[in-house]
Amino acid sequence: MGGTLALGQRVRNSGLLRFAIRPGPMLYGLIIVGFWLLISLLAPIIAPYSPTHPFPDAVLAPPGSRFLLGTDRDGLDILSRLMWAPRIDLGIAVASTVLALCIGVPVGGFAGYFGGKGGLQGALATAAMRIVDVSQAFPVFVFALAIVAVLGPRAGNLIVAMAFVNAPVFIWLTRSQVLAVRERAFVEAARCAGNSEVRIAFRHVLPNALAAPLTQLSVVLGFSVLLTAGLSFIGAGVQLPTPEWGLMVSEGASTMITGQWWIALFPGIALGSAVFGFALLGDGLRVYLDPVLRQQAVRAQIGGGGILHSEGADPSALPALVESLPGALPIESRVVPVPAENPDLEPEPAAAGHSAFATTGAKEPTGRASILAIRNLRVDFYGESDVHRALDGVSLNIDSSESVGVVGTTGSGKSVMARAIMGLIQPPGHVAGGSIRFAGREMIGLEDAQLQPLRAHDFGFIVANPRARLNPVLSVGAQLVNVIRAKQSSLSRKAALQHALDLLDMVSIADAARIANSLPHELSGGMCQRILIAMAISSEPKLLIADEPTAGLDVTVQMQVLDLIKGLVDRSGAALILMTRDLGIVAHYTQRVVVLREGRIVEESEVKHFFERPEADHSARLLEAAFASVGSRG
Amino acid sequence: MHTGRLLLRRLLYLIVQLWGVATIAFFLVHLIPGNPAQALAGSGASAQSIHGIERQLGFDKPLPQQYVLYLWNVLHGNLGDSIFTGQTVLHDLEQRIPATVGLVTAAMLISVVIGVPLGIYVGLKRSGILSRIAFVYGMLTGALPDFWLGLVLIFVFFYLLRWAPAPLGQLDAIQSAPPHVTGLSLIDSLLAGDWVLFASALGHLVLPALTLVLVYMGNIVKMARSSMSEAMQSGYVEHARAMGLPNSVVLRYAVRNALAPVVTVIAFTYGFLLGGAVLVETIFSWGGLGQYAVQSITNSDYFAITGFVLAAALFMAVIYLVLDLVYAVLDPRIEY
Repeated sequence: MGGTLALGQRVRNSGLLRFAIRPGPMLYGLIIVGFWLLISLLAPIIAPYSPTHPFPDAVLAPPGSRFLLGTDRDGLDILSRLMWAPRIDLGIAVASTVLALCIGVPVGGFAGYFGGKGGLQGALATAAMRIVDVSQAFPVFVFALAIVAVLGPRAGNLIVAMAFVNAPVFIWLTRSQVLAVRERAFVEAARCAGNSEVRIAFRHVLPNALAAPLTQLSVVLGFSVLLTAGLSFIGAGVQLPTPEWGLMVSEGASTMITGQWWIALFPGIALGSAVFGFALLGDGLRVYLDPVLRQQAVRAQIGGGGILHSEGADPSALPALVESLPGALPIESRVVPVPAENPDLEPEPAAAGHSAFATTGAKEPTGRASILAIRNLRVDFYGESDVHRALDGVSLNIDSSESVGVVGTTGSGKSVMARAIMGLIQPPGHVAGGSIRFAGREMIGLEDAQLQPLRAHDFGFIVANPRARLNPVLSVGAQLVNVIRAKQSSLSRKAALQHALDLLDMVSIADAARIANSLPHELSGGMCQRILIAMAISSEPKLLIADEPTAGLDVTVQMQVLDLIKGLVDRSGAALILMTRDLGIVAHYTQRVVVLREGRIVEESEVKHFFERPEADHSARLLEAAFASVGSRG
Repeated sequence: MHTGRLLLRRLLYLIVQLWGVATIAFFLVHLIPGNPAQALAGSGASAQSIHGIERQLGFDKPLPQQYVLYLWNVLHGNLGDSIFTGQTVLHDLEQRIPATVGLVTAAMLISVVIGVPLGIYVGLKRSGILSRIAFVYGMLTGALPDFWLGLVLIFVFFYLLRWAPAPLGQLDAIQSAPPHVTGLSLIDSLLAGDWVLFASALGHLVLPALTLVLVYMGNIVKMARSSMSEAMQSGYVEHARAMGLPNSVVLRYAVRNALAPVVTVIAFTYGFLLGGAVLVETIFSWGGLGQYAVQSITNSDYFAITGFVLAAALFMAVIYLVLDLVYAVLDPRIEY
């Protein structure tokens, strides 16, 4: 909620004008459309000849000094007609699009506002959408053709036909927007304040729902220009001698076979460029209004995306890359410098043996063998005009068969850390520096192919929202078999299936054979999480990373899942990193706690110590919040 | 069982849809400013004979009765007579549908065979020359006027290079058509075992099909690209990678999931192709449904127009029916 709000504000702050003058689709679209508007305005002044006055002495004259683009069969100057034509083409397109908007927005608004409600209005809304459905299923060009055919080929009828054809787009868009807006809090508030339905619809819902249809305007305009020309081309639109691009192309159709190419070529290019301009403009508007697409567009400008990939990216190139961001601030003010020493941290004697921060040098802890050593890990995410440092100098040691809890609020960097260890950071994310050593082997900079055996054999990965982590169109059994065979390629499909069923048994799935044949959407969240756990333990991993494994599951299932993970880890002797927001889980299932805040470790303690005497202020606040919520729960 | 129920539901929907289109067609005819009977009788006809034709067509009856009569006739394949050809509209349509469906399907097949792999590749690899070409093509494709592109291709490949045959139908003027089986020269010549004729038919198909492919393949490429890159960023692909699955399996997961939206676009593209065929057939004198539509408009041939509209509606309804069935197979999550 907060995130979307912030994005929305940022969009507005940047301003449409500043976005439009960036080199990109929008600017080029504006230039092309502006060019044709200007031409059509100035046609009476700049056109060399009359668009309808023939030169009988110069029929089919090729391009030359007298007629720059040549003449057609009737001896009409093509350049002059080309300049007059956008008046007709753009005029008809604008008129029909405005008419379509005038039909589409009220109908769509009505259907959206009353859709799903009872009474006459609800029934009307349903009926309107049914009619739209049927007409949508019909090829647009044929639909327009039929209407013009019946009404007669005249400019006015062309406008009506195209308005009918294009209205469904606006009906759909307005309807879906209104549907989304009508349930929003401020509309509800207006209703509670005693405003009438009509008043709410016009004052509150409609203005907020208009943005989407308006962005579509440019696309529909371009399409209408193409449609006008197409219909005129086959004689179902504007008639001769009116200068119109499609008509001009049809004038040159028969001479194309005999070699007089200029008659059809130039108006076609003009037509294509105008439609292209509208398409670019529409694309730019769409990107402008969609924060996610906008970010991608800006990123594309700073290096095609490929450079930002974590693999093989040179961290030293980062400052230059950031500086090249349009409208970028100087780099110092954005990227938080990596601290030489973590100020929040006061290493506590009991935990000192385990904590190994970069600043203390490469001092490996003695005693137990360290399976994972993270040093000064930094991960950046590229935003629209800034770089967000998601992990800022994280250092951590995990011993084999140790269970470590990583706690922190949403956005503290827990998931980024999990993915960085797995080598799964992808653009717009980027590992900016540091080191991750697994069993002594450096992982940063490894290719996907080199990581694959590590992921298959040594790592287990369990995450939140398990259903989205499973291939939606393949049975979970088949997916489990694929995972098993990735780890033991020599295993036959049949043996792998048997192993899969054993694994399902191991994660306490009673009806293994039936579950294996199910698709993910047919299973509950808890069941899907068990499948993920089965996948994670299928190769006896040395390190199990569980990122919020119980988020979204109900409380009893949470405990079952965690007990299951803990039991499996204890039996196999694997190390466990458990990322969670829930301090209760940490207290129960881990030995050591690491507190993450805004990408930095602010505390690292033994569990007992952490709950008795939290060192960092942030930890204390987390604990307070946890107790407060327990208190309020009852 | 599941599929059977889906099929039944969709067939019922199809009937309702066609009934809707027939109704619209009926009102279109009655909206016509002119009098169809007068047009049928010819310009010099007497009031007597116009009246006779009106009676014969049932135009003197009240509107609701005419409507029922019209639906009855459509149901029995009686779509009226064409002024221009003098044949029944049904006969005209039957003769021309194979040519159009053949042309549109050929364009469709080429678009799918090239467009889907191209889009998937570009969705996977966002940099590189091929990606750039696909991007520019994707931008241009919606803006290219198909009727103009066809003419340019004719100029280049027929007039300049002499590679393509004259754009005057499905065969050369001097060649006689193969025995009528389907109405599409390409298939008929193949059935007759006439290889010379088959080669000629294939040669005549190239340019009109290429025109349609260049203009309408863009949608397929764009959708394949975006759904593939979306699939690659999905949770299940990330997890498949996290589990150490080999690249080939990860790709298979992504492609399989990216295909469903592509199939939808393919069905929509069929509709666009039908519209494009109206223009392209005119340019290449293809002799199909599209050209028939243009002829009937120029001649105010009312029954031919409504017949064409009904045929197009039937064609699209069948396409969407197939789409729904394919989609149900590709995406088992959809509940019917």
